[in-house]
Amino acid sequence: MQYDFLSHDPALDDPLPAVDRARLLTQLRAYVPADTIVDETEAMRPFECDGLTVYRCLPLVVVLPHTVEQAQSVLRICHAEGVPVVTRGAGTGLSAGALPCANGVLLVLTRLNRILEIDNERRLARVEPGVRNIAISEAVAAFDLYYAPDPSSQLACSIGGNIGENAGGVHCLKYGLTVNNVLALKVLTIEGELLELGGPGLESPGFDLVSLLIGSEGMLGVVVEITVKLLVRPPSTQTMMVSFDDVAAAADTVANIISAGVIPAGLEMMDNLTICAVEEFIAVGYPTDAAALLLVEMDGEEQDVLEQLNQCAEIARETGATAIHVAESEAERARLWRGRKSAFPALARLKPDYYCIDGTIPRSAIAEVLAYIKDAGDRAGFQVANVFHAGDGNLHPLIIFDSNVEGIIPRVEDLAGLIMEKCVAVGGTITGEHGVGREKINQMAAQFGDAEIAQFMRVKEALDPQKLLNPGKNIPTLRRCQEYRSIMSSRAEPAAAGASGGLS
Amino acid sequence: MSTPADLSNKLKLAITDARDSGGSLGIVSGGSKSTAAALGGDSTLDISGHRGIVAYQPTELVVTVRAGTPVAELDAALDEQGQMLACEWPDLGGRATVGGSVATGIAGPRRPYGGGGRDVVLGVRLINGLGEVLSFGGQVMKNVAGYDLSRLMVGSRGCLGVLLDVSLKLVPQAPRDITQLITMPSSADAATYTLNLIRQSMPVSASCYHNGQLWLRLSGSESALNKLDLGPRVEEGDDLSFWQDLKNRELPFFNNPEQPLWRIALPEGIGELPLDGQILSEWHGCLRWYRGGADNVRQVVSDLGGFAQRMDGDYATEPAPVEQDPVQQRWHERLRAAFDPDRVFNPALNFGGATGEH
Repeated sequence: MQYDFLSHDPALDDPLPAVDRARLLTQLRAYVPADTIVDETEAMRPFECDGLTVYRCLPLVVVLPHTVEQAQSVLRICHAEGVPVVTRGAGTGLSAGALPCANGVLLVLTRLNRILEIDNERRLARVEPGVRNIAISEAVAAFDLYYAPDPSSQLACSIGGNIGENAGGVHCLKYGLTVNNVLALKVLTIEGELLELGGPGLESPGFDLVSLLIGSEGMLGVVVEITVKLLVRPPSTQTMMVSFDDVAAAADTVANIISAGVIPAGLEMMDNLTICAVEEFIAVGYPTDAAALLLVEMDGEEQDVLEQLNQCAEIARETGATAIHVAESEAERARLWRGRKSAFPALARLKPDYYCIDGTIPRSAIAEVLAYIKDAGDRAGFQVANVFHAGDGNLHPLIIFDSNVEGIIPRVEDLAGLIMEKCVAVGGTITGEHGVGREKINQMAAQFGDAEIAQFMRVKEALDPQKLLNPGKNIPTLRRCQEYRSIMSSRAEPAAAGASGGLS
Repeated sequence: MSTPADLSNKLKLAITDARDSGGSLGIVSGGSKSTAAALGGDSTLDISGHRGIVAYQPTELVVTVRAGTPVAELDAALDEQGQMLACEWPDLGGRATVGGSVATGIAGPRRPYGGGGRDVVLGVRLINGLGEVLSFGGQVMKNVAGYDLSRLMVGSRGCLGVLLDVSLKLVPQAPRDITQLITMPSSADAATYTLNLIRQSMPVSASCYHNGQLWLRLSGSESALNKLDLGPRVEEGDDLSFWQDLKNRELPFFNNPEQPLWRIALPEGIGELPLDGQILSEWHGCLRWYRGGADNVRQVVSDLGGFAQRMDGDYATEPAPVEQDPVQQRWHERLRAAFDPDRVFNPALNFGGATGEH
């Protein structure tokens, strides 16, 4: 089933250039090998969406280069011919950031999957963008090193996509996001030129273009090589499971732990709906009678870990924890985390579809926003599960629904919009780690004013004047912003409104 | 303590006036890193009056502070709550401000172990060259809406906009810091020794080698630090003043105006530098201070994959050697024009052909 809620709209989006497909294919065939080109409709099907499967679109052609030079050729052709280019890695993204452009090339970099260099001494790895996130940590495990950012999709997601979205994970509270763990990039400009940014040292002259590129959703350049920082595996790691009979008490515990001066390596929260779904799915030993559960992980020197774990347990008890359990073995610790990382698929078994939101809020607002979500969900007639990076204040409410129900998608999008706007209202953001992509293009108007949007566009045009890279993503046009804001302000009672708040 | 004041409107007006009259501005604050003359501009825009903490909730580990606020004042407020900035900005005798520290991308002794400016900036409010007040990023830990224009401000030297407020990520102070003083035959040995500790997950938070001595700061819990046996410790109190003097360039090493001072950033694992003169190393060798008369400093350092800047005098205008890469230059020029098309800000600073400190 295909939804056109957010498909390209000539009235609200920048016009897409007309492209002569036959001419494009001829050009591509002249410069890149035949086995890199996929142009038959059925063969292109697997590429028509990313992890947010409700949005689908077939590109004109898919190209899977084996080498950086081939990617360079593709960009040169597209630049010369004025053809849009959407870059994609493993396609696990959740914001339709890698949604193909109907008039463009889909440049898939999964074949650029070599680990080029492991520098054990300097604790660096130089990798191609198609390398999977987990493969880096696996390749350096023998040196007792690892790559810290660990999105839940880390078995499948590629490091190039992590750069595009500035991916986070369960350990970024202590170790930072992708941007805090990358030292250098090699980037192809839309003109097909190779640019080297950053370096193995801690400083480089000039603007911090590495930071600018990270999280830019493939709209400023195409990243073809990444130098990541590796960390030394801590000597001791302990995980504690804390149960609560009240969601607010769990939320307060999170704020109290942080304010006590403790930074856990991971601090995750899940609600009863999630706990039960996970238990039914893989039975990891979560207490199904708890209203909320915290997973608290400490790592570092053994003595420090024990002291901090005790301190957290004390805080949790004082804040109303009903049970506290420290994993007794490495196997049990792994099991507790497997439950957390399986939460999305577990919830997916409740109804055919789920829609994941990614707002980040101040920690002090967690209880308030969770109550709002429950209330808004009830009023809109949806179950909403919560499993999220509580230590970072990064929520992942999952609206559970069945897309076979007629007209349900706009209602889901309405509820999602309300939750995102609530996040902005309490001082947070519409997206913490999944990116804007196409999915949240309208909510950008809630997050930013016209002047900021215009500044984003000038940055885009500075580096990609023809706006060929990933068109229609991340930054909405001012027309779209105005339209969205006028619809929002005309909504008298948002959740109860029968009409869709969407733009079409 | 200075009086907090919000000069946003006044600054905006000054920028709009300058732009409308075809003029330009040199942006200064505490004057610890540059003079107005070095930045160019028909007149000076002094942001030092725009100061004060806008919001600070210790439980959120975030502070929002006006750009003209002295670093020393911010540090004192954070210290009261047992928190700090991981990048350990120099306070330069009370003159360094938050805005200048972000704009120059400077960082102190904790840089390799705790993070730099790009790791602490979460959000900014700024005025671009069109006189528009813009907000990017925010006060939360994770935020990927739009391009990351707040981190882009780190090291941009005021060429993209005048910073108004900056939201910074904080960390709790460690329960305890200790400093060890260890005799070492060479800076390379000192670096190896320090890296070995890091490989053993020891909580190294600063390192400095000079005159045969390695100064090593470790930060952690009382019990963990007590288990370490690395030799004699520096008396409590003396250690504090050593690191303070190091980050503020007040050690005797820095006090020798006879010879030029260079700041040299290097990749890890580079041995002794082939330069005649005195060297003080920080960051287990990734940062070196050179005092001496060599005339080929830039070339030597660039060949080793690093870059050097003159730090005495008006170092802000001293061009660091950049890649003479035309694409890099184009991106710098176009980005600058995207924020400040009429080149109102710091016109003497040139990112296109020569780039300054970052």
